[in-house]
Amino acid sequence: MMNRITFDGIKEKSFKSISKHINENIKKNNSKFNILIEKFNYDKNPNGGLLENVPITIKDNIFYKNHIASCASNILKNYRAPYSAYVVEKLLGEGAFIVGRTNMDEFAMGSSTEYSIYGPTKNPIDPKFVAGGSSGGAAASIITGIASIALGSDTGGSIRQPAAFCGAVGYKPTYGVFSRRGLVAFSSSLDQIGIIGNNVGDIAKSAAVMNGKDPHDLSSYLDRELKHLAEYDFDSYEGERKIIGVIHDFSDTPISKEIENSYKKLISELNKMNYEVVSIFPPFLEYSLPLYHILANAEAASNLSRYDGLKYGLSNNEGNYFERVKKARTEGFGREVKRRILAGTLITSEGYDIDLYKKAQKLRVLLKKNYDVLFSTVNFVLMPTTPTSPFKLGEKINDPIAMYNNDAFTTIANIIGSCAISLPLGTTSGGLPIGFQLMAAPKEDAELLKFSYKLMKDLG
Amino acid sequence: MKKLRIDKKLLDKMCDLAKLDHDPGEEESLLKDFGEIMAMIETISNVDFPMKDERMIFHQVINQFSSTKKYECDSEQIIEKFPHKRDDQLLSPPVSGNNDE
Amino acid sequence: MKSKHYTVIGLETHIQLNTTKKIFCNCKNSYGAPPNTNICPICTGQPGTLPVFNKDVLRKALVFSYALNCKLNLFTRFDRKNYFYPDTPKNYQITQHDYPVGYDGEFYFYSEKGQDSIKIKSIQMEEDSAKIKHDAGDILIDYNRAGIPLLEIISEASFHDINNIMPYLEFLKRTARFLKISNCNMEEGSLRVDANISISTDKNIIPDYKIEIKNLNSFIAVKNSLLYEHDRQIELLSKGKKLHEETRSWDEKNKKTHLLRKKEAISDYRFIPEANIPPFLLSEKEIFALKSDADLTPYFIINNLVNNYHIELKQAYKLTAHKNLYEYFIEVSKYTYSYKKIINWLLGDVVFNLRKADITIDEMKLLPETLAKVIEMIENGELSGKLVKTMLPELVKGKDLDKLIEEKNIIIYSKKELERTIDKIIKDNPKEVKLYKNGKESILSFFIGKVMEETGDQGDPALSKEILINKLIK
Repeated sequence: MMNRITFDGIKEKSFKSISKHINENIKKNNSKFNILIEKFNYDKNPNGGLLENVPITIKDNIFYKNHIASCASNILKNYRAPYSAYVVEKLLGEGAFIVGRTNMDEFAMGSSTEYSIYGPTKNPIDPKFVAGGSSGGAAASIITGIASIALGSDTGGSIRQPAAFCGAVGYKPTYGVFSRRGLVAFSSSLDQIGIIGNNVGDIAKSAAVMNGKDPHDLSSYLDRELKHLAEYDFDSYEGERKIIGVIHDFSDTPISKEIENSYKKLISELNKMNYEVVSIFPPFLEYSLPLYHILANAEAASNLSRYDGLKYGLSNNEGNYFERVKKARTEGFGREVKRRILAGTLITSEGYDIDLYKKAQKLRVLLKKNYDVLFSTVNFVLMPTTPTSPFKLGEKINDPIAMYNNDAFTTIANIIGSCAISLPLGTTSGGLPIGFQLMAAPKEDAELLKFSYKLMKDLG
Repeated sequence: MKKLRIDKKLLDKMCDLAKLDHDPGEEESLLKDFGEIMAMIETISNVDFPMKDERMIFHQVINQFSSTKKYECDSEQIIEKFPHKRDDQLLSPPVSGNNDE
Repeated sequence: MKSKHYTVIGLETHIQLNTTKKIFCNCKNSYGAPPNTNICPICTGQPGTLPVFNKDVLRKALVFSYALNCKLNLFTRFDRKNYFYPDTPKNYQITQHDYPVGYDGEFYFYSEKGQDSIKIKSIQMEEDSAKIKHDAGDILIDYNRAGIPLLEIISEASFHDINNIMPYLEFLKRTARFLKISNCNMEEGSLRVDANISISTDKNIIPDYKIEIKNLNSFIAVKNSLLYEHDRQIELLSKGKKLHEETRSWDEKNKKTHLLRKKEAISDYRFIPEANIPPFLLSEKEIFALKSDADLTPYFIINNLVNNYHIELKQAYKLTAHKNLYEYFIEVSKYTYSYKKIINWLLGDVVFNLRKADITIDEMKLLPETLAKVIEMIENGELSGKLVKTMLPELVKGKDLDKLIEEKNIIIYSKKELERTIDKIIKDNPKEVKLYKNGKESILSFFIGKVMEETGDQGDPALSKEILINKLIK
């Protein structure tokens, strides 16, 4: 713990001492856990500001001008970002500096950071276990003291699950809080950049800086409440009485006994502390995973079609156009990416008689309406972030369905476009972290962060 | 509801649409995974719900339009990336045409 | 023709909109720039980019939909059409599929011969592809064209006569130009046509196949390729061959169509909604405000010219060939009621002289009020048409009318002056007057000759004749 770099910890320190500390931590951890794909040549950011001297890592699918962003894929292995992501510009504008780019599952498709051309990221708590994914490198960079803020992306849980597995805080904002300009698209209607950090306060401050209406992303919007968190005194937060919805019946969801027991323990603690806890059934939770895979794969198949080996990235000299494209894509994409592209292609193709895709879009609307109703009765929904604790490296790598089940509780927030945060609130008997996820209605990000801060303090 | 059989023929068709290839040795496991993924996905056909229309403004951002801002990136940077080029234009091999009538 | 054949044709017409910027980025929408200079990360399909919609495109699309009497979708959105091709930067095109901006329309149009109409299936907004050039067996790609806004106008397959197609396209072009949404310049590729054609042997049976001829970029190519395809299909059918769905291209040089793709290979486009552009929810009020922008269509204008200006259809049709020509007419018509005369002069000698001098109607220096004055002077007999014809080459280049008259030593013979001259001639030639009064009408030409002599050919012969007859009878 003492190695970690919190905002409080660096407040009085010089850039020199911070960078020395980081370099030591990289030296100590990087080859052991495979966290950073590349360490950048960073220097003190001449812009002062709210995030002066704050070290940041970025996931390998987020653009930092003139630096490689490969999505841990062969097809973009040497692709140099021609511009910076909106959020990167914002962070640099407030004095932060970028340490390097972190490992991930190829194109953010995975839950263990094992589907990476750079090899898996190991869990720094115990290297026999996975760090989670797809933002596994991001989560590991926080708990090994390489950065105080790690940017990742969350399409179905890729921020929250690795944060839970590594014992960090992982925040997936409401769709549109952070511009997606400069985030390599996986599934455009589900993707959202998120933050992994040591504590809610650091995340909230960074989120306040990163939020804004970007003219290059029509879905982005300015959240004034969130902006106010830049200089908010979290300890002053009282909040009116908030209602937390919790699940009592897991019969439809595959969940390990250990997680379920830990969850029940947490609920009873909350009850003891006089939080208002009510029992709910999250609507359609059991269908969220297949629904997510329909939407995500269909969009992914389309989004990833631009990688053709013609304009940029991995290329070849194969005969005609179609042969060249096929060769580039076959050599460029890994197995999981190919599986998802094929599934997405089939779902939307004419030959597929079940009109599944149309039905999925309709079901999504229905879900959204149902959760609007739910959030009119409760302020937050508390769920385990993952149905199991961290699993061993290689355990699920050849079993896609088992891998997907990791996202049983996380995809719903992406489907309805709301915000959620994974908080490290437990450990397994083996000492591995357990995360619990607090989800709020869309655009309730500021409330979610304030309440999470209070919860962490009360349970701390 | 008719379900598609995930077989080699279908796999080949999807590969052609998606412009992907696979090793013959990989085919069996790919078919198995593909079949399992589709089976998982198709469980949503069990949900029965009445709904006429999928039209909606999902994220409540309505009719926002472009501003005058440009990317900080000039055309040279893009041309630089072309793996094959001629006279500042991207070079592509010919499209396979079956002009054999 | 031995057995009866019914031709079924539908057209997909692509019009490049004349917005200043591209549809989804801030690159310039212009023609003729050096290759790959109007490009950015968005229109070249770089990762991490998102389309940002140019509202001007929607406005123009709505105006054109009104002009083609389409129903408007208050909920309209973009979809992705997925297919791999070298000219498609993202390997999907952002277009409209499920909820196009306009649908179920009817386009009324004129030809010189009369009125016609065709049903419009839909009007959709989409992005243009990059420009492909074949070069020594390779393909060269210029992304300047990628992302230029297009309207695709899809007609119902209800053309049955190839001869109806040119008037339709011509009028579609005029409508787009009059409403200022496109320059429709075919040489620059801002109007391109895909044509679907099939042949049925029974009027009531729609053929079970269609052949699409892609990327026709001149009216002649549309006509010739359809004629060729019509004959080719009839020949195959008469041999008992069964035709299947195909995409073909037109070979201008050899005057033939070539097979591009057979049905099995015709792409499965896997349409999905474009999630990066929120759908539009338009209000009735918002779109109704645009309706007046669609008022001045050539169809409306021709009706107006025929009904209110009493101009022949054939001339009204000619006058609306170019918006500027029509607008010039309207300007002149503010100064004189002789509408037919304006049109005669405008479509005749004025256009002739402009073409000869290689200047456009916009560049022409002849002011509308001057032309009106000239026409009035002819009417009053102050100038002869013959004389005006000699003056026009200089007038269109901006020569001042009064100066020209002075230079040419022209005495303006008003009716009064002409009467005075004629009085003098009558007085000086009593013998001839007597002959006329005794019934020798042919002597009139003698008097007219005298008038011309006296006026140096500048008196109007018709008017002189009129005055002479009146005075001689007395």
